Amino acid sequence: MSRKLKIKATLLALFVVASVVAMGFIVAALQDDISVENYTVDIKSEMSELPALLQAADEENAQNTQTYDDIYASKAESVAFLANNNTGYEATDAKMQEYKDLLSVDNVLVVDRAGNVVAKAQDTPAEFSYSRYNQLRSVFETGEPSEGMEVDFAESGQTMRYYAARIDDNTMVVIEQDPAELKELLDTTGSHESVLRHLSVGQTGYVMAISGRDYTVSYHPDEACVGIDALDAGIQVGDLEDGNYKWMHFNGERVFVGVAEVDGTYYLGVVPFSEFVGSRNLTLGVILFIFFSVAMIVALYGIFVNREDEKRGYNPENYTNVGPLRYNKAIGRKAIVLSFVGFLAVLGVTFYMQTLFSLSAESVSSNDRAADIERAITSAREQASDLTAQYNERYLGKAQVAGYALDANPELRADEAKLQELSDALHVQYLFIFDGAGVMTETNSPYVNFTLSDDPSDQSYPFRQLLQGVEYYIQDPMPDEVSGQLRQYIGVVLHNQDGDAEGFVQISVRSERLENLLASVNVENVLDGIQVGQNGFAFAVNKSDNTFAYYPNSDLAGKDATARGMTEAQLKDGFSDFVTIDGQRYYASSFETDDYYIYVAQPESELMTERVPLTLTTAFSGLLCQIVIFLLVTFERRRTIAGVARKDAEGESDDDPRMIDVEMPDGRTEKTESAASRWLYRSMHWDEKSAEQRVLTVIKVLLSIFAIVVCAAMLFQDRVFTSESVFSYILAGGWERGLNVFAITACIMIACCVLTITMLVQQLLRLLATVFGPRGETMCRLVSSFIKYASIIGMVYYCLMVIGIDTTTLLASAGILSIAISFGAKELVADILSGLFIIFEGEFRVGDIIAVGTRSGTVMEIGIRTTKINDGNGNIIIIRNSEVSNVVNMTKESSFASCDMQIEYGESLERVENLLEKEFPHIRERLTAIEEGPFYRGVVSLADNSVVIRIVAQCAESDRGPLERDLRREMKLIFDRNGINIPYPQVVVHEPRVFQKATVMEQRAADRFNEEQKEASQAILDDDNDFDLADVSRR
Amino acid sequence: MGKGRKPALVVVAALVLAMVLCLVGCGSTQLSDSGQGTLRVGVRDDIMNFSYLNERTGKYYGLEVDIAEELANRLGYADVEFSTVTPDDRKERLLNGEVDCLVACYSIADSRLENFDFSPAYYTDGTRVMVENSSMIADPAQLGGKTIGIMSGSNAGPLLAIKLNADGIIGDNIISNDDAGTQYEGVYVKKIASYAELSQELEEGTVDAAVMDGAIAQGFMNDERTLLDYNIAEQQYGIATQKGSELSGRVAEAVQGMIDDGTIAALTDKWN
Repeated sequence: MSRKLKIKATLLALFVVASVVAMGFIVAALQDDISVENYTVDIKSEMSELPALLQAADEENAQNTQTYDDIYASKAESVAFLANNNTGYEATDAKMQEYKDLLSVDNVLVVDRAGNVVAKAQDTPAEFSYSRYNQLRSVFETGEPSEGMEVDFAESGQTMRYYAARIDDNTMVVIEQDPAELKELLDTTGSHESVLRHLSVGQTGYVMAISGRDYTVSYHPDEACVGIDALDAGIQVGDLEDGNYKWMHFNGERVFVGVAEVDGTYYLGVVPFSEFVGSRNLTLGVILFIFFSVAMIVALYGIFVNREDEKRGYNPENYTNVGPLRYNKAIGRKAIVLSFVGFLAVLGVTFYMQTLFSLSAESVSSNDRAADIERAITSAREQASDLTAQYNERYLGKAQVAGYALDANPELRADEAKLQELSDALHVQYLFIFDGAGVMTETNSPYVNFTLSDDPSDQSYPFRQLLQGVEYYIQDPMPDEVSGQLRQYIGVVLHNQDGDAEGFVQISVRSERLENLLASVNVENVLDGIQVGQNGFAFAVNKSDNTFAYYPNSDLAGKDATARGMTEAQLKDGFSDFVTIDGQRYYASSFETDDYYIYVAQPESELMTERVPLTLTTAFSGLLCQIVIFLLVTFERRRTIAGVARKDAEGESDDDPRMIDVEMPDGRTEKTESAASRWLYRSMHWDEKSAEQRVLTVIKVLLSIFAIVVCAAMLFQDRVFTSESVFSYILAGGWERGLNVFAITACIMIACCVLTITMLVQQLLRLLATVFGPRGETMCRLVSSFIKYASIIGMVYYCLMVIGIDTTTLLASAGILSIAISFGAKELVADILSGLFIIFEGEFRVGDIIAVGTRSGTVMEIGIRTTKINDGNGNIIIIRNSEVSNVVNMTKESSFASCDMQIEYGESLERVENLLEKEFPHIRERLTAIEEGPFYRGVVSLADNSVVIRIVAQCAESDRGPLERDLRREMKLIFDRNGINIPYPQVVVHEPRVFQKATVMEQRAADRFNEEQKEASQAILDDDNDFDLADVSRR
Repeated sequence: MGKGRKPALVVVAALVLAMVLCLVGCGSTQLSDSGQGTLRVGVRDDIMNFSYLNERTGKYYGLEVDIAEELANRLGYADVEFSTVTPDDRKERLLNGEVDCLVACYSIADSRLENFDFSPAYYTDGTRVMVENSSMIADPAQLGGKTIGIMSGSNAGPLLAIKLNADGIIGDNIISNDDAGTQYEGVYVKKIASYAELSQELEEGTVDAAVMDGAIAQGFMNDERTLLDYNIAEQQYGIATQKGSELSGRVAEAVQGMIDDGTIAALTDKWN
């Protein structure tokens, strides 16, 4: 390689590397920008929802606390009621213990105005005389039960809630209760944690909360991070400002953060850098690989051609001078094609990768979101059933207190005013007293004259069991027939003074809390307000009639989904693909509940916004680099014409050139590989290749690298891809079968994998072939070609399935198809079968010398369909296996060259034979190809014009042709030297002469002779036509 | 490479070395002027946003920490060494010279000016009364006859007494005064060792109200507590230095500079 070319190559290499690096930075920066923009929007939308969510959670908490307080306040009131209604109340510890058990609370106390404990079920840590407890004392002024108050006792580590109700002017009842149950409820349902847990940003992002007071992390999805100092973890205090969006560090990880401040707490929408990198690096890698490949191919092509020119000399016709530079037309023409195709490839690949990644990001987030909603629905269901159970227990408690009061003082049963008082104390709506016959005797409700129904289908019927010894009955909440409100009835048996059952008391309660909760499980409520990405939403389709159960645009609600563009195939669980609704395309993921298919949908246009600018920028910078490389490759400094004369200076030293020039149909001259070299397993030497072939080799290598990398990545996917990666998503196969970008990607990946494996197996077979000799070679070639076909057919079949073509119908139709094909392809089938028989019967093998009909040569390859024979002149004869018949396998240890010579009849045969005896040793000496002989085989025939003798000599089969020619030459020379003539057709010209006429006598005699002869020969039969046969049968 | 380049390289290296030495020399002379390289600052470790010690890292965070660092920077110190002071020991520690200055929510008061020099105030706060909602105290007048807790060593006690006396809630006489508390005519002021304990006593009801600076009170507020609308006294936090020390003037000047150029306002905003 000349110094100039070296410099040029170095320059090109540097430029290619530099442009790849520059390109990497540009694309990475662009993608980061776009990602940051997307995440900013994402975080903003989350943050804008946050205050409402937190407020809702706070309200929920307030409601839960209120409900809890109501229950315990009502317990305090119940005790006050019992104390004031002659039910055996006395201010003793034992009575308090009884009440404590009845009410199932932690402690019941009677406290006087000053704060002294009069009676208690157990000891209390509280000192009621402190003004801290003034709130309890307020019952003396208002007469109403006090609100709950909570005190932490550091020493004993207890937390207690207190409720008071007034007994008389000087004493009150105080209920002491550990609010653990309440705390748990608040934590699970209404805490900010429970809100934040359901928020997500991007795919792996999350929302965390930092206390504005002490900058500790008050919520983080990772439990270990809760409570740590955020400033310590890397957050700058100055960055914690509402509406701040920037890169920060948290726990040593680079994260993109959006900050919102709500009520003194900073909420941070956090996207880890790894997510950026995860989605970016693979895209970037693929784009850069393609870009690099294209740039390298063009550059290498230029260098190869230059190098070739250097070797072979310059052809001035290929150059055009442009100022001080000159332009290489030969390179330019092809380089421009390569550059253009490369540019298109970069454009296409970038667009494809962007589509893939934006789609997969959306698809993964849709799926995540769908899973979130599913979880939310399930948990709301569970919560509802938990809450129902909890309420049942509480209401039963109330009914039991009512039963206790009414048992202790039966007079109350008939007093409507007292019943009203009791129901107020218990915080229930109505009380009903039934006697032993199931007839309602008294109530504080407007309903009168009621008797339990005898009809098992009636709501009141089950309460009859209370008359038959069952202690209590809790009916499930049911909507009221009149108002539709949820109402619940609970009955507890009453007893007479002897302790025998005597009717029952029934309470009627209305729980708005439960009602609200059950309503919130409703699909409309769950889906309403769900926002996915920027414009995404959720909707539900009824399973039974395919109507929209919920759709953000209320016009569509109740309409038939299939009439609005959805298809039956899309109405299923686990759907994940595009749907069209009212002409708008959405990317949707679905899951099913008992009654609905629920979809999370995002508009298509939104998915694709980022790919266009990125693709264009990549393509543009790619184009610039291509142009520079093109210029570098095609232009060079003008130099002296000294090199021109060197054309063909280096002779074609190769004795067996594998590269030859061919003229293309359009007149161009191209280099091509000779037929004989194509089916050799031996790869061509690099130096023998033309520039184009070298480029092809480079492309092949690049493609192989790509395929191997993809294959390796697939095999080690767990280690290569994170679970959020698009490839994991594709490999997991969660997408919809059909002609979409995921299916195509999957096909490419499968193809890479199959091709890599096929390639490896073929290489292995090739190695094996060298070990096992001709038979092995034959088998290996066959297996190798079988693997090739099988893998390609299998791959195509599988890919078709992936793309969504129904392969079972394909198989079924293959049955019909095969009949159709079998007519058209019977020759093909015959070829394949023949091929198999050739191989298994061992008719011939690779390397054998065979003759098929008139064609003979060395077997190069026995394929599935054809057999290839090298005729020894470098021509490859391709014979269909079905046509391989009448095979002469001439592979033997040695062959014979034979030479027939004609001698005039006049020549003495003995003289010739003596001559031959004398000359044979000389022939043997001169013709080294002769292994044995030559031999004289005698007279072969007495022909028309000559006596034919034969001379043979033993030789290798491959030498037979040349040797025969040499033998003939020798014989001719010998004959010439010794004056032996070889007859040849001669024309002898004679003078014309006058013929004499026959006499009459002679004519008669001739006639007679003819007749006589005919009669005489009548008896003789000429079966074999022997008389007519000339001796020409043998040559 | 030519032989001639080697001496050139040596010359360049020598020049660079000389410059570095010169720089180091300049630096050391500058530091030696101030006598020492480290400013020792006494700060609190329990007041969120002012000065709070993260025990995991041993670092302090907050407005006062930032101010102290900025101060050291302006005074030309190379480093700042923080140590925790409490209201009980801060006086002694400064007097004994264990710290050079106090940036510790230390309010400028006449009694303190006798012993220390103060910089101009960098933060103005009010002393507040915190009560539990359940005690139903909503009016300062209701404090009569109650037990009020203060952090021992803080000047909240005397200020409270003066204010309550001025508002006619307590009488003029001090009935008794010891380490546990002071019995005024009308209220008992209980001295409690730490703010955390003070908060706990308020929670359990052993004190009926707690008096502390607003900045500190914020750290102990929750939904069930109220700060009475009753400003006992305005507190101005300043940096305290030993009386008449050479540092006093420079500290005052630097703080005034920080106030004038908006540094203090920016830092206050940052930690707000």
